[in-house]
Amino acid sequence: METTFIDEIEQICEEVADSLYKQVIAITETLAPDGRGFGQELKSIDEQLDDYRKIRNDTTSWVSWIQNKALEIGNELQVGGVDQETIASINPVAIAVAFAMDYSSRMEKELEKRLQ
Amino acid sequence: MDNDYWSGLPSNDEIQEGLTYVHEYWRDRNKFIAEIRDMLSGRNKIEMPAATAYKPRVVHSYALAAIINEKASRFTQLPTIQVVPDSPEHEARIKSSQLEMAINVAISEMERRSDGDVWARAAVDAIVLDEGIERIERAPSAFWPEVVQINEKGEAFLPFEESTIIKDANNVLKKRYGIPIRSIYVPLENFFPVYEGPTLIESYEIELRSLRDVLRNKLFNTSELQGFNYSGKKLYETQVSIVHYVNHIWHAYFAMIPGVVTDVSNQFNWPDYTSTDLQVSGKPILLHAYKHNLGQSIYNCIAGRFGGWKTSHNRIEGVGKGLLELNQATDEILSQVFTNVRAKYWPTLLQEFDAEQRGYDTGSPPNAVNIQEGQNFGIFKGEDIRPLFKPVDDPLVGWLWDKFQDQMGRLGGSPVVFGQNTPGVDTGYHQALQITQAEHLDEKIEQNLSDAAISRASLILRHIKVMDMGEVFSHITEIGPTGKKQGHYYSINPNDLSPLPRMDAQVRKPRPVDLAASIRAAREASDERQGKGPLLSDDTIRADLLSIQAPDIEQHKIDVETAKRKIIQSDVLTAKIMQYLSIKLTTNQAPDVTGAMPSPAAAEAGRQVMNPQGAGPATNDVPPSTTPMNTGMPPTQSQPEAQAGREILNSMQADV
Repeated sequence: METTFIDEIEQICEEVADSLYKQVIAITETLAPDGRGFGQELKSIDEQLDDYRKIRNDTTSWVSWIQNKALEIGNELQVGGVDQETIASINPVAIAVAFAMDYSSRMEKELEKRLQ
Repeated sequence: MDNDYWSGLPSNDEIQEGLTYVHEYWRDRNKFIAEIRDMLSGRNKIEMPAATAYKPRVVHSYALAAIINEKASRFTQLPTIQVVPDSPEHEARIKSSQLEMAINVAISEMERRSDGDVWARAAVDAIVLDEGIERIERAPSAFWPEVVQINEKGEAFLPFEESTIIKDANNVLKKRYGIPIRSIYVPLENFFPVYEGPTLIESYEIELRSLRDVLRNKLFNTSELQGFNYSGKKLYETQVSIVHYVNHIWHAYFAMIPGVVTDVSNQFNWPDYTSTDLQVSGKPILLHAYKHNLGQSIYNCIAGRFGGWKTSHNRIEGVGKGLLELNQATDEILSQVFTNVRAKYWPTLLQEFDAEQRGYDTGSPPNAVNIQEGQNFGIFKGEDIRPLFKPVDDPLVGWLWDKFQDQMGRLGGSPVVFGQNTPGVDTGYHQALQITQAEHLDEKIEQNLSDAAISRASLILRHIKVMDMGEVFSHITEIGPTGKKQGHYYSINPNDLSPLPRMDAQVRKPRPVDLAASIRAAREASDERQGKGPLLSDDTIRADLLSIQAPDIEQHKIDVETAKRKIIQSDVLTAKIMQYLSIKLTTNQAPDVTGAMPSPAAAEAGRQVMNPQGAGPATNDVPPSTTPMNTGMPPTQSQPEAQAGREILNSMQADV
């Protein structure tokens, strides 16, 4: 099928965004390999576990955590100029749930190590 | 045949009489052509002394051929046709542009499938001999052999005459067959026209074909040739003079067979009508004839600077004879100088002996001593050994050479047009005069070539009209909007050819200095003149100054490029890229929860959030995983939560 000018423009956007994404990741990994942001303090694993125990068995707290995370993701996308409809289709709630599951899973492994 | 020789098919006797007459009438022209062709190919004889003390060497300068090459190189390989729109309106211009593209593609395809390099060869003949000839014919039997039909008598016939197969062919078939018109180059000496005033009424063209070729052709009635019981090599060697008789309606093929049968060891004297000295005449037999129905000749005669050969004499003869003489003189000087150089640098030695010293009173001098290279030898005092020909500069040779070159340049057209310095031109004014003279000669040739190119295109269009087979397709490969090659079919519709469109033709390449001058002129013509606007419109500048065909298409391309550039330079693109980047950063950062083992409360919270309608009793359904989604505009998902939930269920082990 013959490509149109719109196809070409979208292709350009894809390629540039892809390239910039890789640059951002590379810069971030170089400047902050441990993930600590500027002005922030990286908590020790015990401190992290303490925070985790507060919400570990509390479904309501987990729901709040997930909802806050989803809000944060939505705000990030808004700052990047993404419209509401697109944000909705990306489904930040699902992404927040993934973050929650990942966080909980990591913490559970640490707890298990402590018990052994 | 009636007296209507314009449109009737002549009998064999009439062909015999007509051919004999025209062959005799054009004899002088053909002798002149033969001399020119000999000179061009270096076959002109150069006289030299027979018995000499040195070996004469013959060198041909090919000066005439060099002039012809230079002149021919100023013209394009194929003419470019421009169709003039009927009116200044946009629709008329679009229509003319489409027809223009179609005609140029058709000409290009016709040239590719024809005799090879037809236009260029005919144009060279027009430059050298003042006329070039091409025959433009419909040739289904050559290109579309599958459409030649056989009637109940077993005779092959052209479908244009009686069958509807061409008319019924669909577009797919026609595209496959290609353009059914071809062009054949005809050497001028083989073309014997009959003019009445400026009109070409009828013509005889001689073509030599082998007897094998003639007997093989299914379209030819070869019953009278069966008596020649040849085989093997004899079939190839026997050249038959085929006469193409063409008038305003008919194109007929006659074979000239031996008129006198001399059955001596089965030897027949086949007449060769391409020779100016016809030794034996032949008897014409009709092989095949068809009505082309064009109402004019199918030959395109390309005139040179003196308007072509309408009678048996032409002003080109004077110029040609002058060039022949000068070229001959140039060849002789070159041969003499070359011989001289050879004699000097491979010397013959003259040995002077003292008769008294040697003891000779009278009689012949002794034989010369044969001296080998490096060998010592002795002579008496007063004797001498020296080269027979001493190296001596002769300024007359250089002067004569320059004169000949200069004069040939004036007669034939000077290379000074391309900036080459010519001998004897010392001042800029003199060079400007030479340029003017050379350009004047070129302009005359260019005008005539342009007229012939228009005639060529008209002939093609007339054929298409007469064939009445609907659209005729030609294929071209061109660069598409994405920069890649793509094929395209252009068509010529006979309905668009009534009346025939007005056409112009471009036959000359612009000189490099012309292009820069044209662009400069174009820019000045399009300059704003203090509120009065430009001097010429963009269309006129493109068509007339820059010779761009289809200037409206060019304008369209400019408009598209401008719009693209504005879009790219605007903020729209930047905003889009930022959006795409944000989406990437967000979605690609989401962790892969395959094999994750969260706490039961976390799992339950995920289920509640993903299924806010209420999950019912606890099940093994878990919140959806988020494998990073594709970048760019994410596709709309139906019930993504349910789909994601099933993915999480499959990936997690609720073993807490």
